[in-house]
Amino acid sequence: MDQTELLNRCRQGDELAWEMLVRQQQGRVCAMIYGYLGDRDETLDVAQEIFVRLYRKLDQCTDAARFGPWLASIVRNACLDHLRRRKARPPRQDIPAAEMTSLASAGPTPEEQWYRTSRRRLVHRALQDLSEINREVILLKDIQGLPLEQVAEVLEVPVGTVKSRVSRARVELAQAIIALGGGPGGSGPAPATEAVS
Amino acid sequence: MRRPDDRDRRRDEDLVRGILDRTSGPACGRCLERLPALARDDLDPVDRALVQGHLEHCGACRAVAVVLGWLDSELPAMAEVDPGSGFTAAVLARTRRLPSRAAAAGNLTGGAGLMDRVGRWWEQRIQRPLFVWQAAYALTLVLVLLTAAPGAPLRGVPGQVLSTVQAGPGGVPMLGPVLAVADQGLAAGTGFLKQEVWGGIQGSLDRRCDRTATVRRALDRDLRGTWRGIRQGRPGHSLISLRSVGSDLGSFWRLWWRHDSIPRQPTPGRRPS
Repeated sequence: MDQTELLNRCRQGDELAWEMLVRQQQGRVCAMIYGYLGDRDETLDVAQEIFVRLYRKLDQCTDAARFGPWLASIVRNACLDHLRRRKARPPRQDIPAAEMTSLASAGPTPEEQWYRTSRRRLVHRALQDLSEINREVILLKDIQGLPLEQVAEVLEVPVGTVKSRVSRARVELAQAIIALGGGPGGSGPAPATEAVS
Repeated sequence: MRRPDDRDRRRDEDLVRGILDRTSGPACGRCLERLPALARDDLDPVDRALVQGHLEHCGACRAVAVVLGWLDSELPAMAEVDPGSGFTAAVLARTRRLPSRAAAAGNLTGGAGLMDRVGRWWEQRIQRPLFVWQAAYALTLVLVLLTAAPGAPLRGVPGQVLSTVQAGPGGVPMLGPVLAVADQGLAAGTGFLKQEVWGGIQGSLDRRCDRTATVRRALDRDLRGTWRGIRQGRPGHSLISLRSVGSDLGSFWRLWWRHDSIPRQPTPGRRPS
């Protein structure tokens, strides 16, 4: 179905159209949120909040072509708000890092079941180690595939800044993955493709 | 001719590293800058050859190049995740509780739609904390413009209103009889309220006071006993009295809230207490 028609139907209160829009966008929205938060339960909670917000604000998006970046902005703002609140909260548990490792290796966590591919899990862990701007550039440009202009619009920075960040962010991500043991000689998952020619 | 073995190669490496350390420094930074372009096959032949030459000898940069290679295919595949089967239903359940979009905006057209939009605009304005101050300011401005500014259409009206208020009801023609009728109606209404509503409440309170009189006296006695025990330093005595206070309070509570319309019937076969 055409995106413009779908959005119009949603604005008119067509519940079937709204359901389709939710189904269409939920995977993308959850992937973005998970990239920011790195926690499955929090991702699902924030995703629900975002869809409620989207339902309320649907009238504000009049151009269907702008829907993608508009939704990405909503997701980004909600995630940054959540991260700010999370920073303000005391940590849920105070377990030394060594014990956390043993807890993590005791069995598959829900996150591990959710993200079965170990390589993706590794990328997500590495994403959490990146600087905020680099993580957002990777999420929006490389993962969500938004054009540079739209990434700049969502991040509210000049296009040149995004352009210069793209390569640097990727290299930083690769180095974070290697640091986590995901490189060719590491204990992490072995690469599928061999060295770049 | 002898083929260079590992030891020769390591010696060459050390030599190159030593020269670089004393001249330009390591070239890894420059190589890392160009690696993403190499992964996209976006480098000119000279740069490509230079980067590949560096990769042959630098294990760290080679590792980054390998990871960049698989990131190319891995990152786009991470654009979506499955939130689970119950997610859509949970979202729909939450949005179903919100005001319907159809009623809120879309389906109303013409005058009804306009009224609806105005209503929603007004609702948004009125929820702002500054609204009261802004409205008061605007109202004052309008009143001044209408009544006090030179050439205002209602100039002099406030003075007339003030003199009428000061003169009392007699100053306004026909107001006297109207007020008399209103007074009569008010008196009748108040009488009805006193008789029906307050009379009922008073009666109920009287009945409750009557039936709890004995318990209240016992409560008073036991409280005094408790206090006496405390003052005379006899904790045992206070404790016994305090237990009686608790029992009295329970009895008081039950008697006070017992429904008036259900009279207590003695249980057959048992002596009424």
